[in-house]
Amino acid sequence: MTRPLRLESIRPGFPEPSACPDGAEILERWELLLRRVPRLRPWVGEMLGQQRVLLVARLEGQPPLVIERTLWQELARWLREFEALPQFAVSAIATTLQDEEREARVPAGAEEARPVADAASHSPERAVSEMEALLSDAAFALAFHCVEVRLRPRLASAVEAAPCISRVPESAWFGLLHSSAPACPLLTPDVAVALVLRVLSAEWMTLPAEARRAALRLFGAHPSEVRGSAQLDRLCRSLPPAWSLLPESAPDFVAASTQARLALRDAWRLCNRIATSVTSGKRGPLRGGFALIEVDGAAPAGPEELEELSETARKYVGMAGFRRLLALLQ
Amino acid sequence: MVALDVAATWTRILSVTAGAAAAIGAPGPATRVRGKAVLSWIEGPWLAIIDFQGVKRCEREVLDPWLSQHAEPLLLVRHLLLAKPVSEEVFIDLTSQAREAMPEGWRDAPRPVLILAPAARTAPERRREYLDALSQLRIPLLAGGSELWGIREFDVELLVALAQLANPAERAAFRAALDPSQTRLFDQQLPAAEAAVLDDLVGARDEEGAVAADLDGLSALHPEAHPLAVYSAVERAHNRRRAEKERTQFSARTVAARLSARGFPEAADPCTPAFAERADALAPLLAGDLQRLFEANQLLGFCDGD
Repeated sequence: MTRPLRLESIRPGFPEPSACPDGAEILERWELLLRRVPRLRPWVGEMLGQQRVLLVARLEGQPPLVIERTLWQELARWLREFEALPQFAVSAIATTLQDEEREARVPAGAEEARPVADAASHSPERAVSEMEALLSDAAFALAFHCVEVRLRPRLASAVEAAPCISRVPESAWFGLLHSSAPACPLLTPDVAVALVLRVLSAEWMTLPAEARRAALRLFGAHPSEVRGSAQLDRLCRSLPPAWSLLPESAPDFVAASTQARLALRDAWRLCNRIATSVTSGKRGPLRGGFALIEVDGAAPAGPEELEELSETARKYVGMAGFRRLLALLQ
Repeated sequence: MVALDVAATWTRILSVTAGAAAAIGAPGPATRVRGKAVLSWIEGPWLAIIDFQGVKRCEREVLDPWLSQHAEPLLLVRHLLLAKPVSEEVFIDLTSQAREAMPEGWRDAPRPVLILAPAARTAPERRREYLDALSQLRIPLLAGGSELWGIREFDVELLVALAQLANPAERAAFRAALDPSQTRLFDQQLPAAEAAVLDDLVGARDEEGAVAADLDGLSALHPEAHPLAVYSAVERAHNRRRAEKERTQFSARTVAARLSARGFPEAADPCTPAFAERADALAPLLAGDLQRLFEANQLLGFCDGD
């Protein structure tokens, strides 16, 4: 063993170690799991508490060690089941368990606070799990690629050119782009890209609604509107304070917004072209998102664009969606 | 039954539970405007009309029993009373469950009407047929407030898939065809997807954007105006600014708006100082947003600082 155990973090509520010879190993495996899925931690504690109450009632008169041993057996069983699942599934379950708990605790008359509470539940961990599930599909891996090669670099250089907006996080730009993209109830290349942006912008949803709205107003502004506007100062004061965006920086923000929108259009077009290459070249039935995706008759992708895709696939070698996507293009 | 593409359906389920919309359009009863559900403007459930024009016979055979046995009660608790689905002709007749469940006196007063249309399956002209049918009905339910109608377009293929997967045998077969590592996630995601789709039908998952921001802004100026009417004005003001290809088919508009409809480009008056003062008192607005809101205000039927 190369690393000391940190059992104290999960010890509260756990059964007596002496009741189980394999206790230390089970605890270590739990610690590994909970480190990856911290949202499961309160659930484990609560379940152990409930089980203990039930066992005390059911095994009345039995020595306490029997109860402790039974709890260990339960812990080992849950652990086996969780370990057998893919990580995103465990995360999704943990999120659902926490959501159910919160639903049960929402007090009457708390309706107004709901959007903020919902936003707060959108943890980075949940975003990761959703990404994992989505990106195992070739169509969404393609959308991710388009964000990666068309949107991210252009956005980064726009921000780099204006240091005064450098404190606006990437997730906020993605959130702004997602919020300003046209909604569609079907799966299109544009929707796939927008959904990747949504999943990548989990932090954006944790901002107060007023700040998001002010940011959206500024994001959609025309350059001529932010010069000497009396309302600009008020608008900037409504933005998240961490962005440190002053009225004099607004023209840079608007310029970067324009670049971001143009980059998103590029990403959509690239997604359409590669989707066309996949759907037009395929003789057999398409699988997953590509069986649903509606392309708008764009020209197929060029060889350099397909090479660019291979590069992204090599960079994200763990993403199953890329393997499927490359196979479809062969 | 419909032959489901397992991988495609599973991807669509995952995308919807991850946040993709399965229905969009005009506000539904659960859409939140200024922090409260639209339902709160006019007490009582809305009338919902599902349009099956363009839906294949085999799809209807799956959807019809699922709707009546499974989804209708779930839509009832989401404040929708269903009319029998319409097909070629728009003929409005409540289902037996809706007749049983409707509150006393519900039919004697105007109610908002929500038309649920399959996305990409109906022609733009279909909207005129809805409006003509609604305008011709002379019953209290559709009088006055009947001008408050909206359309939400939904992903009919996903709805068919969910309807089919409500059947235990079909669900088991679908589950067996999935990658074994995904089956537990499927068990969890299927009910989540169903809830998400039903929520999307009533607008509960509507997200923010420029239209939603203007809807909130104009609604704050006219708190008594119904959000469907406000939305129709806002949607129109936004459409004026879009290139022809990007203009949306109207998802909501009042009869009055239709009567006053003019061809593009529409001439718009410049924002007045009185309106600017009122709007700026509510939220900081840049010139472009202010002008758009002013135009929406006019389309709603108010002038100047009204």
